[in-house]
Parts: sequence; C-alpha cells; structure tokens
Amino acid sequence: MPRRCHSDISEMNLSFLRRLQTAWVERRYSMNQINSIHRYSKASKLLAGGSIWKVTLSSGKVIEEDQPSFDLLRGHRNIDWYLDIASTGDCARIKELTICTLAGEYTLAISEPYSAFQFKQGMLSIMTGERQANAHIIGRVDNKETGDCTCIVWSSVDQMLHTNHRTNIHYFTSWRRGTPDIGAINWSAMGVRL
Amino acid sequence: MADFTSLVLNLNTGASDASPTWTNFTWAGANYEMRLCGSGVGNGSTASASWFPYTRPGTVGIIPEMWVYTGSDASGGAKVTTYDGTSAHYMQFRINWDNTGTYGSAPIISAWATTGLPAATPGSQPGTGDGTSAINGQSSDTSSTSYLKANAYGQGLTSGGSQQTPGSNAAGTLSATVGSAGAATPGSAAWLATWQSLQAATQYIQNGGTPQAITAGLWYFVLSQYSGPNQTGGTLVYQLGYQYTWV
Repeated sequence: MPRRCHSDISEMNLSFLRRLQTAWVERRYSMNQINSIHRYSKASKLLAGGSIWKVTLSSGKVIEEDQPSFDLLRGHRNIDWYLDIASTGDCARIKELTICTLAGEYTLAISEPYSAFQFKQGMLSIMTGERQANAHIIGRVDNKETGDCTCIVWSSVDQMLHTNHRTNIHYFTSWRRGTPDIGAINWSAMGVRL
Repeated sequence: MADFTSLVLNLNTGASDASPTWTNFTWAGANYEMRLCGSGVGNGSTASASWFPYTRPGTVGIIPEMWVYTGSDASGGAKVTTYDGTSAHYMQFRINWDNTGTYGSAPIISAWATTGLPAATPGSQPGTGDGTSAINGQSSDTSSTSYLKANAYGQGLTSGGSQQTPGSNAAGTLSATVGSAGAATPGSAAWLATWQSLQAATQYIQNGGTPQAITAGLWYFVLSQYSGPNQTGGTLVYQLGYQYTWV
C-alpha cells in the first residue's frame, strides 16, 4: 500500500479544518448574526476614534480586521494581521490595503507581493497605568532596495489623518511633531519581504 | 499578533534594590497615580487634591520622594522606597509584558505635557504651572532640557529572547542639565553612561532593539525628578509614557 504523501495529508487536514470551522461557528451564530456583530463592533471602534484595516485580495475576497475567525489552537477569535495575512501568504495577494476611520476610508493600491504592511502605536502611561491607542499606520514599500515606503496614518490622539506620509521602513519617521521617530520597523513580522 | 493582553508598569515597593517587591500599576481611574514630595513628607492616606506641596527650591535640586496610589485616591498608597532621585539605585520600575503580542519596533520611554502628546517647547515656562513646567525645562535651571531624567538598562528582552536584568546601580552622569537630542539608546546589558532628559519627541530613550515576538519580557528603568527656582509652580501633572507599536 503506497504511503500517503505529506501534501495529501495537508490537504486532507485543511479540508477537515474548514468543515470543523464552519460547523463550530454555525453552531453558535448564523452568519447574519456574526456579520451584524462585526458591523456593530466596527462602528463602535470608529466612533470611539479608532480605526481598522481592510484588504482586498487579487481574488476579490475582502478581509477586515476584527472579522470573526477560528483556529484549533486559539479557538474563536478575531481576524489578525499577523495570523491571517502575514503568516498565511495572503500578503502576496493583496491588491488594495485600506484604513477605515471616522474621517473616511483611504486606500493604498498594492502591485507588488509582500509589500503591504500595517501596525499600530500606543502608549502605557507610566504615571497612571492607563493604556491608550495613539495611531494606526498602513503602508506600502515602494522600493525594496532602499526601504522607501508610502503610508497613511490615522492619528487617534488628535483625530488627524495623514494621507501621504513618505518614509522608510529602516528608519520610520514621525508624522506629527510630538511623536518621536519610530526607527526601524519589524517589517518581517508584518509580512513584508525584501 | 494583536496588542499585548497584559502590558503593565511594575513598581518596587519593597525595602531595597536587592529585595524588590514588584507591585502592578494598572489603570484604575482618576487620581490613582504616582506623586512626588519632599523627604519624609508623604504618606499612603492622602487624597490627590490634598497632596503635599513641594516648595520651589532656591537652587536646582532633586525631588526626593515618590509614592504610588494604585487602588484608591486616599488610601493604600505605597512609597517607592528605592526612589530618591539619585543614580544609586537599579530596581525602581520595569515594564512588564506578556507573551501575547509582537512589537512592531523598538519601544520608547519619554514624557509629555498631556495625554494629547504635544511637542515640547524647550526652555519655555508657562504662566500658570502645568505639565509643560516639568517637560519644557528652563534655560538657567536645566539648559532647556526636561526637569525629568531617566536611565534604562539594556534591551530588556533582546530580539533573540534573552532577558537583561540589572544587578548594580545605574550610576552614570546625572545632573539637572543632562539630555541629548533625539534618542538615547542603552547598550546591550548596560545602563546609559549619561542619563537622558525625557522631553516629548525632542529627547527620549529608545530600546536598542525590537524585543522577541510573542515572548514575555521586562525592561528596567530608573527616574530622577528635578525642580528649580525658575520653574513655574502649580499642579504639575504630566504624562510619562512607554510608547510602543504592535503588528
């Protein structure tokens, strides 16, 4: 009897996981309910001054931050850039990267695989223990040799949108006077490949 | 990964650097805060609004005592015993994060006049005292650096996952006028040779690397708060912050 090769096992497991995921999710909520919860969560986040990212893949599929997701290791969870974009290879298939804010939705067109990234900036107040979100950045590496990139920054501190922040992933400069330069960003964890 | 589930400040409320007792300082509401005062003046049972005034000194000097109120405005306050504003300590504060997040860059320690994170105006004192009194500094008192100084140890957690924990005093050069433009970055497993002024985006401390992903870690630092004859008095509330990014 021939041995089952590794790829067969992977495909079988993937198929099984998809069926399990669908069953697991449908057991609790209908898809309409899930979509309603997500829309409510998104609206709440934006009204609170926050923002979310959204990607459109070359297949036309749209993936949005905080959409419900599932994996066997972590169970029911929200869509996460590192787990669902950077680690899955979808970062090679991004056609558009969008930031959704109260000030509107702004999109970067992506033409090169593994060039889109996003990250957030926050602060822990050492005097009070409070944590606050400061900014959300989406970006596109325009030149992989130099690291030059174009970014859109939502500054939740002052509710300002910076739509054309040009900087470099090896030394990411600040977008406002009171915020220090970020320096080198952890681009590999964000799904960028140079 | 998303933001860290747990990212908190730990304060040493133990008796010494050698035997620290780390107390979590998590956001609990207004007036749960760190407070400074003169030597032997503070206690653990005074409301924020009645906290002891510190008389503006005739010459530039250190404010020598710090207290923390973590769970109540007017009770349960604890002294940060190892804080006296000098460089002869190594276990005062640490940032403590769990293994649920991934840093997007090297974290930063700095201070701002308010939570709106405004840019500093070095040397400029306000008409009525506020957070800018401490952060902007003053030309005669601090050479326009901040009245708040800090030192940090190494990288905390390295990109390779090694924890760096200090075992001896910060030492180094500390005075009211120290401070260099931009980021001061401690070497690996070392304190800054010269303390840094914390002044918004003008002067700050930045970690020497991005800590390893999804790995718990600790980054140790110490503080020294100065005051001087040319500082505008009032309720000087500012924001001392640990600024970080996540993927």
